[in-house]
Amino acid sequence: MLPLFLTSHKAYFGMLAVFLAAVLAMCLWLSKQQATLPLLGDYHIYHCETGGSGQGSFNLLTVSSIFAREIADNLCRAPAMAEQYKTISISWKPRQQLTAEEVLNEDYDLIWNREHSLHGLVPEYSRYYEPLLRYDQYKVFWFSRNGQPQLTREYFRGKKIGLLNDRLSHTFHLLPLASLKQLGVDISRQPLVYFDDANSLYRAFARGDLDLVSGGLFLEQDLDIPLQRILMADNVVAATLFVRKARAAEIDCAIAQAFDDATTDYFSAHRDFPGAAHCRG
Amino acid sequence: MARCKRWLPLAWCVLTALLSGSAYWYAHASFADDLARQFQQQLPQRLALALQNRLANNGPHSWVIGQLERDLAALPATGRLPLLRHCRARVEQLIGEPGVSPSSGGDQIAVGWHIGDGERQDRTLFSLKCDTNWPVLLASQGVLALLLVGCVWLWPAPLSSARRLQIRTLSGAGIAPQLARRLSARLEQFNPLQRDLFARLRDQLGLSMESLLNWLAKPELATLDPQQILWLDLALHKGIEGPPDLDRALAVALAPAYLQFECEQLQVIAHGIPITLSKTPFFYFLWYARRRLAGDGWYLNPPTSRPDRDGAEPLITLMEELGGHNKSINDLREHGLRAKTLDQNRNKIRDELVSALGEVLVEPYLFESRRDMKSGRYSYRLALSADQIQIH
Repeated sequence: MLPLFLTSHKAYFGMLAVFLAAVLAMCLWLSKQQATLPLLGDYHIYHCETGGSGQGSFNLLTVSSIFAREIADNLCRAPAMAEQYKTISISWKPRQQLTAEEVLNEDYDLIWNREHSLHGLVPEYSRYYEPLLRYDQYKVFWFSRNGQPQLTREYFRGKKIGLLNDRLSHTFHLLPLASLKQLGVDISRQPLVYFDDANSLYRAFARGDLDLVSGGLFLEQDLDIPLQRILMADNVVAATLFVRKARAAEIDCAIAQAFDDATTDYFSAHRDFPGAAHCRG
Repeated sequence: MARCKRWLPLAWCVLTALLSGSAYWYAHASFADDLARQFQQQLPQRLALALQNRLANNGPHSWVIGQLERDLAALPATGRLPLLRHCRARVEQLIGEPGVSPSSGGDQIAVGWHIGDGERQDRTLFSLKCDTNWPVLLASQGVLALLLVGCVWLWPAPLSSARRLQIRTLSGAGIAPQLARRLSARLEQFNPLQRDLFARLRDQLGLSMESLLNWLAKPELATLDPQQILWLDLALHKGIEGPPDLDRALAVALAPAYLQFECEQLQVIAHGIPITLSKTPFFYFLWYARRRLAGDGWYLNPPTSRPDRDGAEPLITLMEELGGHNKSINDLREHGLRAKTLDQNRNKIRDELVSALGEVLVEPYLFESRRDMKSGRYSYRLALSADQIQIH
């Protein structure tokens, strides 16, 4: 029997509220759901199958995701690759993330990089890797949205210049600073804006937040807005392809062809391929 | 209580709907929360690596979206109840700036990430879709609602403050709490008249609560009119010593208006109440009654100067038969019926009836009078009609 004080209307409705709260809590407790997220793949690595009789994977490290898939697909279609490898795998992780261990372990069969970077990482890299081909005479320009840029100290005064934080980047860091130095601009008084990635840099430029940026001819195609340019440097080594010394020699021509096919339209640079004489066609 | 029970099925339906709504919302929300947490663990680094270094229109965006959606095409949901199935996420916006795109909420999940140590935040927006396992959801919430309805049904109904006061009063009077609760429940079914009677009678010595309540529960009692209540009260308070005879009191209250003469005991019974009269007033009363039974009953007071000697004869016979006082008999023989004696005896009858029945109830059992226009004297007779009078 309930104590008398619990029989009042107030106590009754209080008890109803307690029951309701308890049942609601039970409802929520019962209906709580958990998600089981599978281990996700790596989205900076692209794989394709050669469909051939070869074994293992041919691993590439490139600096940019732009041509990556096209290069890999070209390699997968190459018969010489199919004979040697089952899959082609291309990664475009940031070049700063390449470690000495990876170079020493020869984790990658091909590395797109600059000689000074690789040398800085592993001075004796040449025991494991050798250059296969080189893109040089690459042209880098100053781009402006307002009027023709001029290579004079007066022109640059007070102009906001966008650079990349990546100190290894020729196009976006080293060359522009060298150009300013050459013109006698006091870099410490120049308004320089640093960005973490090219994407942000160009977006800021497209918005009008920057007066000048550096870049290759590809920029006109990428941004698709009216730009004025002036040449900053015209014999830049754009990239060098380093390949493992311990490789099947038959694949050299296929690699060169795959990179050529993917980059010709975009990459207005001269190609230096010492081994080209061995290739057919 | 019966009224409440009728509402229970409806309450069950409403509760099932309410709980199902909550369960639906929480199943989806908790799944999305948990997924968002795991997204935040796995995705930022992967997205930053994949999308770090190129412009939107040339990057691997569509390929990354395809890969993500392939990986997120089947997201198993687990829980105490299998409420969700076939969960999958789609990419709504691969790179959006925070503030521009909506934050997580509803069926959308936003994952924030940034490249390197940069301050710039990017945000990827996913939409989440899950099929709801309605049979399990509705059945489980229906059972929960049933549980609640069952608890409410079993929980004693609340008592009004009047009832609680009554129970406290009963307990205060030394009645065991459980019995007090039971008595109060019975009282609840009584009308104000019955409750009033209970209040007046419960302190009477020698009455058990149970028998009092059983008596109060009688249907005849519930429908007594005010006049009958007066009779009931009268009958209850007649036997001052000891417990009142409840059934007799009810019989009195329900009795018709009649007057019965018990000649042996020199007693009249008015509406069931026995009244013992003094000898001489009784005989006068009986004499008037007989006249009422014999005809219209009117008897004109004789003139002061000429008493009614003939009229005295039946009264004398009556007194002799029933052992009247000699003095009264002789007085009648000597002087006949006199207006003064008649008036005196009617007054005595009146006094004795009033003292037994009270001023209010006594009225129909007394005399009515009318004035004779010629002589200026009064006639008297019993106010009751002949069929309401019995002589034994």
